[in-house]
Amino acid sequence: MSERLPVVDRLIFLLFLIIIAVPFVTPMKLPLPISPSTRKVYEVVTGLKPGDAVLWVTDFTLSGWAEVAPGEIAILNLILDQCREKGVKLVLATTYSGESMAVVKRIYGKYLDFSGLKYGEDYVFLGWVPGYESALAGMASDLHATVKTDYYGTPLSEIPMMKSLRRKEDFALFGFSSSTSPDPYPRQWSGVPIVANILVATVGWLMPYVEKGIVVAYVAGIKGGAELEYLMGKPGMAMGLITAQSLAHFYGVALVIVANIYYFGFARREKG
Amino acid sequence: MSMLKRIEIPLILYAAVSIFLIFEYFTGIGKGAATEIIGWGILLSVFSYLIGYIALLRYHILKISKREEGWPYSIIILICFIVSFVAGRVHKPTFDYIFANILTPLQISMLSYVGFYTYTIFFRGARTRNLYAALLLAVSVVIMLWQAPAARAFLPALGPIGEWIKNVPNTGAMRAVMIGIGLGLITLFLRTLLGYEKSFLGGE
Repeated sequence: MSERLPVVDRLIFLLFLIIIAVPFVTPMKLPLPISPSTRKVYEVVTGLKPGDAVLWVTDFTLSGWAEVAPGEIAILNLILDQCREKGVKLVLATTYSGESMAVVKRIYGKYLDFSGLKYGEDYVFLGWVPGYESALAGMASDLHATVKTDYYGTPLSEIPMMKSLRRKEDFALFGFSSSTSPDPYPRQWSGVPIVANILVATVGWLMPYVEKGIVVAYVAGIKGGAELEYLMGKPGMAMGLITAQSLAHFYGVALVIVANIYYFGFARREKG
Repeated sequence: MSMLKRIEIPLILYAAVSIFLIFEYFTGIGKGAATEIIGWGILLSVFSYLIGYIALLRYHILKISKREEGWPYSIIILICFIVSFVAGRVHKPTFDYIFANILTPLQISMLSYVGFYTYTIFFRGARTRNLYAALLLAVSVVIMLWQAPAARAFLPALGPIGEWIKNVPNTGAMRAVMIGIGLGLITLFLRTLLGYEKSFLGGE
């Protein structure tokens, strides 16, 4: 028979559950200051010029869904707005794994607004290009040699917008969403302005590339996604989650304080 | 057969391909051939999935046949594997249904489960036992609040402090880690090139 959790743990779990459930039951509006990195993403994407091309790689799995998907959806919808308004071209792909391909299908099919856009002229979906970093390297040096057909089996040479998109120099912007190491992307696509959508935990990993200007801007976690949705004026998944996240962080800090008061006030005295 | 088993052949292949790719990267000469080689790499990576499938099947079939501890779970794994594999190739709607209604909630639940235990750690582990622990805890609390937009709105000073922690000590440490990894990779490359590193050939 399995052991029951101690009462304190059960209390902590119960309070946590209540705290994150509150914003979903009673909508609360907490302030949302915009961080400089998210503002930069917004400026870079809205600064795209007519005819510019963007390659976006969606490389995360379901374990990163809660943190990475909101930012991915917000950025891609912002790029799609540029496609509609300015004639920006968008190429979509995934290189990470079969699971990331399933994530892609879910996001593209359910959360992105392709209305008013024509497939093959405004956007193209390359599908899963296996190989991860090898695939990124191949697409950077010769896209047509690495990927022969799009997701639907049409040769790239027969797709109108792909005729002028052959290597990384032909793209005005490269973007990626990743729930693991962000290293391979700047390593293979440096030279093209890069925008990243990553986990908060991997921001540190990305910072040396940001500092060198290889990655021009990034969105991190639910917070970044919510900030971008706010800038776009289109509340979505991230803004729905951010209040719960804020409350959960407050709860974490409160637990740390309570733990230390208990430790210094009672536990140590009892030991002495 | 013995000729194929000799380690010199894969080592020569490795050395030739690596040196050529480095040469192409720095000179731009032989771009077409380099792209072709990268394409071969992509093809090989697809075959690694096949090896994974075979290894998974072999491991669990052996476990069931020997009635090793936890063998009934292996039956569940095999059934899940076969159903998803067949659905993915024969009936896409079933595969999409499995993905959306079984795999997605399970994976997200697994991660959320970890979240609950993180909060127990806040209570049980986050204690200022000495100066270093206090420093680590203080930074963690600042970062946690900085990541909560509402806290930044009420305490504007959190913005610059959080940005400073991210941009200066954090980036400095990560840069050192990255340089360390880079040096390690160069060492590994040279060891492999000189034949000291044989683990990728099945040696020790």
